[in-house]
Amino acid sequence: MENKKLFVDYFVDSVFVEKFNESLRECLSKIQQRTMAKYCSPENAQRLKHGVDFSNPAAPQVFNGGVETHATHFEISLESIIAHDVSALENCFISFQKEMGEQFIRMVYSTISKACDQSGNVVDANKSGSLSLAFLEMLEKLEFCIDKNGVVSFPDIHLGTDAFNEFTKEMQEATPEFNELLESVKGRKIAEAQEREILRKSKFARYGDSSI
Amino acid sequence: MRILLAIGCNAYEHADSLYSAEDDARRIFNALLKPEIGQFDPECSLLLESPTIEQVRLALRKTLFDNSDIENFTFFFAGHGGVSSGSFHMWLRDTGQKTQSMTALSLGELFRFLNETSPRQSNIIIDACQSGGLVSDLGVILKPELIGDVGTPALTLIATSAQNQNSGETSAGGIGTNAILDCIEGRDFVQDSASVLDLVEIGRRVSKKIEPYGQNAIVWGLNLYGPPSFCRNPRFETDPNTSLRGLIHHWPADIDVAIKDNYNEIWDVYGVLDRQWNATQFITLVGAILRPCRENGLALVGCAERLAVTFSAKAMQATDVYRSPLVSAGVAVCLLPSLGTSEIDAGAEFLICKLVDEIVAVNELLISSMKENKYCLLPKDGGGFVELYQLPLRISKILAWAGATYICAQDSTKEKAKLQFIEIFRFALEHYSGSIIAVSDSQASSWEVILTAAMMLELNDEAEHLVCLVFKSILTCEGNLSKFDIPPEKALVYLLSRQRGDYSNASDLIERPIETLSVLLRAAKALNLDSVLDDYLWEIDGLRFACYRPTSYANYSYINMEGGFNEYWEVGFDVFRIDDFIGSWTLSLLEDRDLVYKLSLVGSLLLEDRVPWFCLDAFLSESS
Repeated sequence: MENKKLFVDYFVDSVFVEKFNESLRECLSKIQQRTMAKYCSPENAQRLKHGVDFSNPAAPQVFNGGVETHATHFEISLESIIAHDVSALENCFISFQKEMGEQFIRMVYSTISKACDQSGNVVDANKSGSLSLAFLEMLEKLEFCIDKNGVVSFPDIHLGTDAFNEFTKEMQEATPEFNELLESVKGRKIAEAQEREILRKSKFARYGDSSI
Repeated sequence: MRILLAIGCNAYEHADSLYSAEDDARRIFNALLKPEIGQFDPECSLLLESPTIEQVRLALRKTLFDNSDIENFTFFFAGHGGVSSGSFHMWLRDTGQKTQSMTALSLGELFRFLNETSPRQSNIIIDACQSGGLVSDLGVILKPELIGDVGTPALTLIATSAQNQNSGETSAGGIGTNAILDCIEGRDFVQDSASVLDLVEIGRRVSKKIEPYGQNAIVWGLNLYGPPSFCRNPRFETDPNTSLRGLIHHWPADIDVAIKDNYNEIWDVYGVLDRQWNATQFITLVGAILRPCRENGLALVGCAERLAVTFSAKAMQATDVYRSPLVSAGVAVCLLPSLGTSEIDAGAEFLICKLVDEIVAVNELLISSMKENKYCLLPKDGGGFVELYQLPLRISKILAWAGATYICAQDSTKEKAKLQFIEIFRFALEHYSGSIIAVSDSQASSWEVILTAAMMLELNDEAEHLVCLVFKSILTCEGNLSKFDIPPEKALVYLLSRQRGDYSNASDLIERPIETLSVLLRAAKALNLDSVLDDYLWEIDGLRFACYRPTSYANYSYINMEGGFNEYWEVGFDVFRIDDFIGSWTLSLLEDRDLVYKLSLVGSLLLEDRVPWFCLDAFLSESS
């Protein structure tokens, strides 16, 4: 009889439990996807069905940051459940978002940093003399992105709070000569992007108009 | 020889008439003479309605004494009866109460006839009042010189009432006779595990059934030996779960831990197999059941074959004719990791042959339907808008399994499978070209197999037609194919997004990257269509496509494969023409007679998240 008490349930609907937990997993997944979408467009997210290694056989120069595992766990006490503490749900979501989000962001910056180290796309702000000069040097090293419709997008700038405040102040106090130089660099970079895009499209057998 | 003497007496010169006795005898007579029920000899069996004692004695002489080598003699009586002077008497038309010993048929007299003629098995059924009183006469037959030795007759008796009870009749017939006929004709369940019913088990069932009517039917079995032989069992194997119960019962005891550990899952999968199919669930279950057998090749093969037979039997109850072949395929694929020994290879070949035979039969049915009705690929019930999603998938599966059957067929069925594939392929191209489109990336493996079979058969025109149709559909949707595991309830969202060309609400339903394009571009190269398709690659500028290359194709039965490599390409980044892709493609080569080739091909069609790249690679290798 004592053993039996350990293995019995009282009005437990296991199918309901499974479906509820599935909806909870979906909720958490959506939270994670929202976080990821701030740094990476959903259209750029790729899915692996098997294995973990990946490569670009036709573009071996592309940096491969590998696959990481991100994990978090959340505890809810039995006391909270029987006290019907619904705030535990919200706390779970907040904790999950924070933990998983931090891991993702750390991965993004770490991967970009490694890629830049590998390609040499690094600027030392101290050596440049100031943030604004370092910024100019960065623009020189960068290639602006251009999509297939010819729309050029400028690079996103990610700064810590202090660096952001300092950078903003410097840019506001920049001389007209500096601004002119900045515009000149931007203009050149845009033109380079457009030229690259023309070159890229020329690699196709044909580009534009008609279909099968 | 099986002989029946049925007597029903309604009319009496010295007793009250009955209403249903003659009808009871007639119904028993008609039922037991049917070949599908009793198989009693119609020439030698007799039916008597309200006979006199002399007529009965004459009938007994004719049936018992004029025939030799009687395997089964069955005597049925419905009418008045009673115990008198230490014996049970069956009353006939001219029976008088004070002259029963002369004018009624006593059971003792019948026993003496049976003693003299010794049919191997005698059955006596009496539906009369006080028929349980026949116990008084058992002393006639219970003699060591008559029974007990080898070959001495066996005797079964049913009396539909106790010695001190009456037997009732209704307008529908005698209560006892009705109960017996219900068992014989399948309206009442006795058992379903044997093909023949024994009168003893019928008697026990009848006894329980007529108790509420105040009758206590009694059955005796004397000197019984050998298998039951009264009548066929109409309920034999009608329980749809019979084959699984048999499987579990006869599973080798030393490896039955797998059955015990998966008992609930086995019944869950088996129970819905005629209505639902989930390849992942089925292969996972079969893999778990076979795991303890993997050390012993013969045990593995034997158990695999039993599983295939058992689950196929249930699958054949499905309206979807592909269900049973998919079951065979699922079991066969589970042998992949263990290939390499002669017994397992032989077992795998056997299951592949079974699969091929099943698909050939399905193809025959399909071709026959196609000739009568061009809409035969649409479902018989339901359907409608859901077909805008399901039909393209169905067409690719039908063609793929037909192609796989040709590829995997042995020489004896190769030609037939070939002709079937050609006919089905051409029919689909002619009547369903609008639905030969890529909707889901799950179709990638199907396209690979279809194009391989077509190219093996030098159906290059048809293969080119298919490549162009599928490629065009990819251009139309800009490569936004649905995930292979899209939930059914999301298919409508995907369809609407595809129709509107706006996938912002369906981003999580789109497969990225896709493997379908990897299949098509290689097929285009093999068919020398690359320069044609190159002109249109700009329309999918930015589309990423991929290939998962396993460490071994013997892993193609695992639900999740570890190791291996995921390779990616992007149109407009590292691929501008098909040659850019082919130039960086690593060929996978397997012999098409190889068991790994066949089973991994089958596995890819079942699980739909992997492609048998070696199929088209054989043609790329020839041309390179």
